[in-house]
Amino acid sequence: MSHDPCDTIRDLLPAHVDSALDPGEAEVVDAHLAGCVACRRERERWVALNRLLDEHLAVAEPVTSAGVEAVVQRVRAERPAWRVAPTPVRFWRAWLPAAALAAAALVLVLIGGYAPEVRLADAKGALLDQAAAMAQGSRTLPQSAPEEAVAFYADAVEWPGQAAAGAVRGWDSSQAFTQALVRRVGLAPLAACLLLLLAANLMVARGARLAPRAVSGR
Amino acid sequence: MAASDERLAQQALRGDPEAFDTLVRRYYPRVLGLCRKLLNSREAAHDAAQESMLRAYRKLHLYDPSRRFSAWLMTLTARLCVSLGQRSQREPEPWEEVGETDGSLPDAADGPAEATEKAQVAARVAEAVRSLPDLYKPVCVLRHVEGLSYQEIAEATGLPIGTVKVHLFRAKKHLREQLADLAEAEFEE
Repeated sequence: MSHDPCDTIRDLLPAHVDSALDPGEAEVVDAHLAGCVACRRERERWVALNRLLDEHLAVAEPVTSAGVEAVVQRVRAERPAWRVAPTPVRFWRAWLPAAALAAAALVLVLIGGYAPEVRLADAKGALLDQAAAMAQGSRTLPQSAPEEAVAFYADAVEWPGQAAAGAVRGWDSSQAFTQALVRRVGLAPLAACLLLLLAANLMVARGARLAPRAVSGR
Repeated sequence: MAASDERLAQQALRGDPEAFDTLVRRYYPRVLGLCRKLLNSREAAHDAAQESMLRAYRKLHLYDPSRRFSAWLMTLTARLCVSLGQRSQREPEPWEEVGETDGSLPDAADGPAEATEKAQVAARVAEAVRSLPDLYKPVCVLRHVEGLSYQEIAEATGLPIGTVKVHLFRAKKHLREQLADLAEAEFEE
């Protein structure tokens, strides 16, 4: 089946009239137009349409100066978001989030890293108490040496990794863990961490309620 | 010498209250003219033109001063008109009487007959443009109202250049069908 080259060229004519063809395409079209009267006339029709659109579409509307000024006043009354000044960041607001994050990380490190150590130290202390009691010939074991702690210490000596993994799970109550942690880390650093976390929470809650301040002027 | 549009836009962004006023005075008639070409009623066109200037002011921080302000404004206006046209589900209202349809001032050199004929042609062109699929209206406006090149249209609208070519090709085919007699008369001249 033969294909009429004029069909291909005519599809390119609207863009050719607008000088929007690639150089290669434009060359092909130019070469065809040089030898084809019908396509040249077709191109002129597209030129005529462009003239019609350019002349009648790009027409400004007559507006009275009062009409324009009314629009100016409406625009002046606008207060777009980009004219709203950002709330100044205070020093404490700038560093508190970072401090709170650091505190949270510290608490996690303490729980994850120190828990096995604290528990082992407790078990070791209990064993020492037990040994001391036995050395003094006492037949009754002290209350501070529960069997569970002794077993934990024995396991920890043999399988330290496994004992560490089970250390956090092994606390019989959160109160016992907190007490052990306070003994090990100290009350003041732990309290500082918790206060920082609380302050960060309050700051986020307050920040959500803060409205941006508008700049004076329009 | 009058300040360039781009400079005025930057001054407005820096907080100069007069700069955007100048842009409004400079462009409102053109924006209104475009709205009247794309919308069906005079009232809707006035509302759209005002809304367009307001939106331009609200979104001024998004304007790239390395591009033409007028192209940015006309793209914004054309898109607004398209969305307003889509929102109003009502049938197109009959356009105003010939002579008021286009709203352009008749050329002082034209006699009454020429002025009427010109207004009729303008009304037909506006009607044909309004009948374009919404997708093609912004590119058509940027090409024939703003005189942008295809590359500039692609940059103004964010469309790939190939898409701009296709949209304009289809828009022109549609317009040529709608305005066949006028285009032929123009061709014969």
